[in-house]
Amino acid sequence: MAVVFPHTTEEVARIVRVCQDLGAPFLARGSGTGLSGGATAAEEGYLMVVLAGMRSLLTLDPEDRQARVQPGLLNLRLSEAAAPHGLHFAPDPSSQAASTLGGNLSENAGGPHCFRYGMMTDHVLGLTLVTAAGEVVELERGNGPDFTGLITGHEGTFGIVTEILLRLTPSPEAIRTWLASFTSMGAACRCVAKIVRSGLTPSALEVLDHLTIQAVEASSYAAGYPLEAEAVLLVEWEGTADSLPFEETSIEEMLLSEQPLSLESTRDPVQRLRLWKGRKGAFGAMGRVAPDIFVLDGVVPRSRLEEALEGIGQICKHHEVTLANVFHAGDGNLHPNLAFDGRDPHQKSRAVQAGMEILDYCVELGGSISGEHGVGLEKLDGMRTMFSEETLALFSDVKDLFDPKHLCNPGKLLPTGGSCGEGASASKPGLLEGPP
Amino acid sequence: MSDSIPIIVPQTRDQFVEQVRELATQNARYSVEGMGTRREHAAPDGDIQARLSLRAMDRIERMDAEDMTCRVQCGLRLSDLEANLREQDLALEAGPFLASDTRSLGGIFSEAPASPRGFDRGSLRSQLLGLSGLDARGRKFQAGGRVVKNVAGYDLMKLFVGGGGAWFTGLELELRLIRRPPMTRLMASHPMPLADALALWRSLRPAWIEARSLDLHIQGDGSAIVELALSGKPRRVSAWTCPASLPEDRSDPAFWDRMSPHASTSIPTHRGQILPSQSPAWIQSLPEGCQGTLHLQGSFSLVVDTASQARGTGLDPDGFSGTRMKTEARKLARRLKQGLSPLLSPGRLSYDTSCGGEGVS
Repeated sequence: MAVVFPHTTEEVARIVRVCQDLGAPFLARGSGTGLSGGATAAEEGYLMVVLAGMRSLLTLDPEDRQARVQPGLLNLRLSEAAAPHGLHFAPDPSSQAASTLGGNLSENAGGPHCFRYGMMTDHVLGLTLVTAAGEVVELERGNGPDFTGLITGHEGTFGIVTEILLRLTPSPEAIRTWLASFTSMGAACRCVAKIVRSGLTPSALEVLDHLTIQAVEASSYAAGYPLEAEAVLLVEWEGTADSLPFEETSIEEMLLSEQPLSLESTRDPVQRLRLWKGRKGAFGAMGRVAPDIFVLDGVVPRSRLEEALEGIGQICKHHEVTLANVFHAGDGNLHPNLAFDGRDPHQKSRAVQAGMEILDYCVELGGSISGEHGVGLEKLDGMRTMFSEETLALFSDVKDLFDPKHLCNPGKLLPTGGSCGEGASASKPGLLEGPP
Repeated sequence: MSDSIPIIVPQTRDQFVEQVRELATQNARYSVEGMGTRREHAAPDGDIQARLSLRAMDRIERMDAEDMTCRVQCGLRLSDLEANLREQDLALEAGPFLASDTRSLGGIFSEAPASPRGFDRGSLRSQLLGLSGLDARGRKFQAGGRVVKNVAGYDLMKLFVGGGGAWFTGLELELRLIRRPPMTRLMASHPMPLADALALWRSLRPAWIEARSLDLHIQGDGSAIVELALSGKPRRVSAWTCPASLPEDRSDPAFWDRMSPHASTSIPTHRGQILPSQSPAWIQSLPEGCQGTLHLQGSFSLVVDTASQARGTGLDPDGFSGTRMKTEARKLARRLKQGLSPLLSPGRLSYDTSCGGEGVS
């Protein structure tokens, strides 16, 4: 494998054209924080185009609330730059301190606050794409077909995005954050259901289960979560100073209706960061439980959250896999974390098997195999569970039109097979089965 | 577009699929419509031999009040869906739309009209969770799903919204719903000179970030009215302090569904998007006598009497929105169109954008 570090759109275009001439597969990579293997080479002989050097904030326009960036700019850096203007960039994946905006675009990233503010696709206003043929195309939302929407979430399979025009969101005047702890997961889920049904749109609704709480509180991410709780629910409401009092009462009433073990809330920014530290550090804290975790990313209809958690628990019990749950409750986006020791091939195999069954189960409940992490290499098999062969063939046709030679991040997102054209073989190892 | 081409109205999904496949076998070019009320306003279909209508496919297939989602057939009229949603205290977040009663949901999403609430998360674009449909050759597909967060597969829904029916035929839509806000309050200015109204509109934009809508209604006589709408629980909505510049102040739950009395009732001839910072220059460039509305995030709908009035004003004289794709973008679009859907409305790239020339071959 070779690696290049371009700095401009023109350099990226030249690189891609060379790859075309040589028939060399290539893929783009930002920080490599992705969890589905989208920026991992599926085989040998790839050219990796690392965009970390393209990290400029090109323009920031406070009145029009938009910013033009290069794809290597870190997500959090954009919010930091916009903050003096009373603006921020709303999509906030847990990796935002390390993940790039180009990567966020490729995966259509979300994060805890996307319940209110939407996913990446709701914030991309335009982009520059270097197609797999090396053409440079500038696209703007509202001008012609919505290609920015089609390309957001393409997982790097259509070409390489070299500039992005992003919407900035006014920062709230006032924020209140609640942490409610419960003696059962069911109580937490019922609270979530009440809040969502009420029509209120909190900016975040996050749940952590007992094992996750234990892991977080034993780690450097300790946030003061009650150790005896079976579940904690983090709720956040953002608004103007005038509107906040009205919503605070409603939310507190709903939280109290499920008799929480404890309920704390704060408007203080420092305390807010403390409460969020535990949630944002939850995945890292899992290192306290086992050397390895398999982070899943399924989605189920919100009305079936309790049922889904119960079913996932049963699957893990059956496979004797340790399970810790963290999820974006408002969206039904679950992150079951399966803890195992990768040095033991049996544990690893059971974790992989359980993971596949969990995602199949999410689809069975009417959900999806991915809420925000993407399909990448990890969930190629899951695409067959979720979509028919005809749909996969259509996806493949779309990909072919952008990348007729199948050089751009091949083997990702689309499973291969007789009806899906060429690419990395389905028999090639998946992400957890061995190194590429 | 020829109205002499007879319209085929399949009665069931299977009949529709069969019809499309038969046309595809014959390599016949065709267009798909709902009620057909906007055909003459969209970019030309191109040279077609058949027209298909989805108007007979008008059922609500699933209503999930708990999840606040639903699945509907594309021929369902918006007014019928809204009536059903009202009974369940649910609503579409985007809207209200002009002359909504006559349009199908498939048509509304294919056009993606601007609307007061159609910005950010409230836009039609974010309401479409999943799409079941046919490609131009009659191959069935399902993109997206029924859950509110989903990144599996390619987002073909985005080609459908605003696509003018030129990329795929939508058969069923999975929609995101919201709890119907119990109260909407409208606060409006008196008519004032257009430039003054624009200055007021710009000054209110940063302050009213929780507004459901903030519209500049251009009246056609050189004056305009600024209107702010807030929606939510009655106690909260009524607690807002109305700006002195907006003395007309009324609240009513029904305002959620209704177009403002200050908005033009005509079907827009032009629409598009501007940057709010460019609005002064844009206002200066408008032809005399045009009416319309500029929405909070810069989307607009205008009614211009004649194409000649539009010429030289920055609006597209061809009668479309003024969306001008860059050359490379148009080349890419034509290539994708040629590869994916040459038979379906071959002259059109999106509701607003023609292929140019003879269309794709």
